[in-house]
Amino acid sequence: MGSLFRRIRQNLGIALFMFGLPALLLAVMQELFIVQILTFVFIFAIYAQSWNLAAHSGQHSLGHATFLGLGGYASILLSTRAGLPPAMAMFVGPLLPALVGLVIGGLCLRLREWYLGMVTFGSTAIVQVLIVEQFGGLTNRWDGLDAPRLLPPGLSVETAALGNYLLSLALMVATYLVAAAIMKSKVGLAFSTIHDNEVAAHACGVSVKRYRLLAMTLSGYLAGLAGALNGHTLTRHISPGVFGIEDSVWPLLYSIAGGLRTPEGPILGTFIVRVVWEWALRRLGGFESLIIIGLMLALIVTFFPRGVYPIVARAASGLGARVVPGLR
Amino acid sequence: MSLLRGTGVTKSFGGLVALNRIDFEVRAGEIVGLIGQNGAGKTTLINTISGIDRPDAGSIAFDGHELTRLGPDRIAKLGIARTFQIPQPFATLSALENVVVSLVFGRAAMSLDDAEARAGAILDFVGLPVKAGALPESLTIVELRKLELARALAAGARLLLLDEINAGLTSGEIGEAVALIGELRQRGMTILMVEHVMRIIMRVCDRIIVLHLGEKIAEGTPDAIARDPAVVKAYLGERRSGRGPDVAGS
Amino acid sequence: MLEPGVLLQILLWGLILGSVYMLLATGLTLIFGVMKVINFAHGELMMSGAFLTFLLWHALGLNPYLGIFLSMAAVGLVGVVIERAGFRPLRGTAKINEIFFSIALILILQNGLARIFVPTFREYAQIRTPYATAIIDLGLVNLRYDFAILLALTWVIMLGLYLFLFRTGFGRELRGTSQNRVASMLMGIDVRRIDMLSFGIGAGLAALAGSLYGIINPFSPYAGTMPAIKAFAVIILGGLGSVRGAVVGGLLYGIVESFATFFLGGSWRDAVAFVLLIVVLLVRPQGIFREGA
Repeated sequence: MGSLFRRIRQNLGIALFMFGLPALLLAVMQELFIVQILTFVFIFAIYAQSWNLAAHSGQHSLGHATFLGLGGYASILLSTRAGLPPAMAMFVGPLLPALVGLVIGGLCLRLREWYLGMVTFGSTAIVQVLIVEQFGGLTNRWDGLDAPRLLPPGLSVETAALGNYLLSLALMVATYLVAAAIMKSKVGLAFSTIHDNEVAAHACGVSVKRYRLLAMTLSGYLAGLAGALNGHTLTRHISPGVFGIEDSVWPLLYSIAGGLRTPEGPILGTFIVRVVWEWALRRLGGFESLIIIGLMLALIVTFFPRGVYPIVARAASGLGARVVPGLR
Repeated sequence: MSLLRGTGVTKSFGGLVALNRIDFEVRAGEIVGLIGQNGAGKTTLINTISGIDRPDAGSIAFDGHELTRLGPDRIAKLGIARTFQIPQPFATLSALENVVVSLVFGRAAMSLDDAEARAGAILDFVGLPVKAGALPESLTIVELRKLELARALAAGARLLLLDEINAGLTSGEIGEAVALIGELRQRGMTILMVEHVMRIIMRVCDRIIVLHLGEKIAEGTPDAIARDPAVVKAYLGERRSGRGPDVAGS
Repeated sequence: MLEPGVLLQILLWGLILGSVYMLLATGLTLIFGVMKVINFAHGELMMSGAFLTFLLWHALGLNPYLGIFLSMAAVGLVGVVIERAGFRPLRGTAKINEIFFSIALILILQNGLARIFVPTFREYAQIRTPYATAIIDLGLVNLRYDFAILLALTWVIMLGLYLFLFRTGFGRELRGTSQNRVASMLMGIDVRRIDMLSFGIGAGLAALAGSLYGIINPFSPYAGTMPAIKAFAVIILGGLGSVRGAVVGGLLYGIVESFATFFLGGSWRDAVAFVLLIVVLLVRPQGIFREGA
């Protein structure tokens, strides 16, 4: 454990900054809607991080909304039907998408790389039907379910918003540290080998099966956590629409824009993409903003495939900070 | 002492029989060469031993374990390491990290810290010390082969499967390679090597197995092989590119 | 149990649906075979075709059956541009970049269409042909005149494609590149031109599929995604790069979906493809046909 601490010491510093800055900014923020936008960024950074972890092991899921939505549904059902307090349901609910991640990962073990993308994409369609039809009695079909709030009732709107903000921020930073620890550990190394060359990974003694399943399970859990958090704080509701394509595409975008396979990337990417989107939405309109996002993605893939983070990291190291992505 | 023994190993791909009831044996401490024309089945044999392909029939025993039922990662952990004909480095990891992978997940099963310390020594041994932090994309083909070898050595193996690791080397590089293999033998390594470069085979191998179109047509010491009429016929008969045994060039 | 008339009706609808999937799948498999590229934005090319045919009819009164050809040509051209400007620069980089780029295309095309479409036409539109109400009475079933024309049109185009692939020089080069890119390059084939050609053809076929779809169905800018993904499932099952697999698979799948919708209800319609795909992939990870033409 000591060596892991040494390895993520740098990340701890970044984590402190990551938590401190937005927390301090809270004091000077005037508009409620900015608080809400940032809360959204924090929550979906967790979602992006979950996708990024799976991608780190070469498993690029194109249907991550499955995990997002199932996490939300499970948590909400646990807190409304099983009497669990939302704060607890939020951590228990994601066990369902974790299990689904395990199953999907298992199904795809024998298949070639991008087949996982197809299966995960298909899973969103299948899960949506199941939620609406087979479990419709439980889930209220297309109307969806209302979610109990995370924080105790009786708080003013502002206070609740601030509370959600700080909680989401804390969880985001926690997830960041978990991701950093994983990527710099033996597990992360295994993930990288599987991502790069499965045959060689096998030949070096890496138990590819075990690590792939681990990645998908963990990814499913974290995505579910984000979904649950979102449901109990921001949207206060969940409906089958969550299994649409949009929510499967966003974590991809955030991670790529920010920097794949680094723990900082998804966070930076979520922030940048979201901010651009919110600005475009207000200035131009819904469709235009999505077109701009599409153009952004195309440009990034063509000219900055490593995302924004390496540029930031290089600039920061130019300023004297030692920010080096990778094992050491 | 027999370290590796294959009995009746057979493998077909579709209608093509790549290996037809091959028997072979590698004893501890030996260096065995595996030669044959292209398409003779050499790489397929290596693949079946290392677990990438499962033979249709036959058995392969390594140190008491039956390999044909195991996956490649299990086989690697048992103590068999291999290099690939076309180097297969981990592209997003540095040369050092590539070696660390084997140290951590191979037979040595080291911790990350220990592995990072040890990896440098292995890179030194194969002659890649300055390239520790480099990414595979910036290495030359010869350096990539050295990295392959380093990674295989790091796996802590007792049996090393080398697949044409010396193709295209210059005279000087061949000398270096022969010295390296000599070093490995001194350290007790057992090696089964696929080779086309006859000068190396003749100099370092204790025994040679000759494959031709999926069959084993000869086996013996380098001198015996050089004189074996079946081998000469197989090479001369098909000889177009002149890739026959260049015994005179030892 | 089931009247022959109803059975035939389901079958007919399955054939029409199958034609749509067949066209999409063939385009996708051609693109994949030649470029080894997965174009996830195929559904958006499909809807672009639908929209163009619709616009030509709605704004200029052009008979959709003529508009289809213009639409195919235009979208085909767009396909060529996309390949040249978008996919070619990405060649040689990680495979995953092509998928990401396709997703960027989805966002741009889908929302571009929506931007033009939604303010004026709201949710859905449908292309009305001059024969929309004409029906051929075949005794057991009533066949919509449109269906007959569309089926005929599809088969004529497919025949044309077959002739192109197997009877022309370009077609031979395309098939060669699909089977062995390196060897084709060594033989002097300009694979970059073949790339553009295959993408253009793929896009054109998608546009046809879209126009077809838009005549028999109300459509929206978002309606292309599902059929495209199903077409993917079809080509995986039929064999990546195999035109035969795409044709047979697409038609068969259309019929299966038609029956599934009838017996299981509409909401299962989309899920059926993936359940099928997952089941087949579990049993036979390499699909049903082998790769290749």
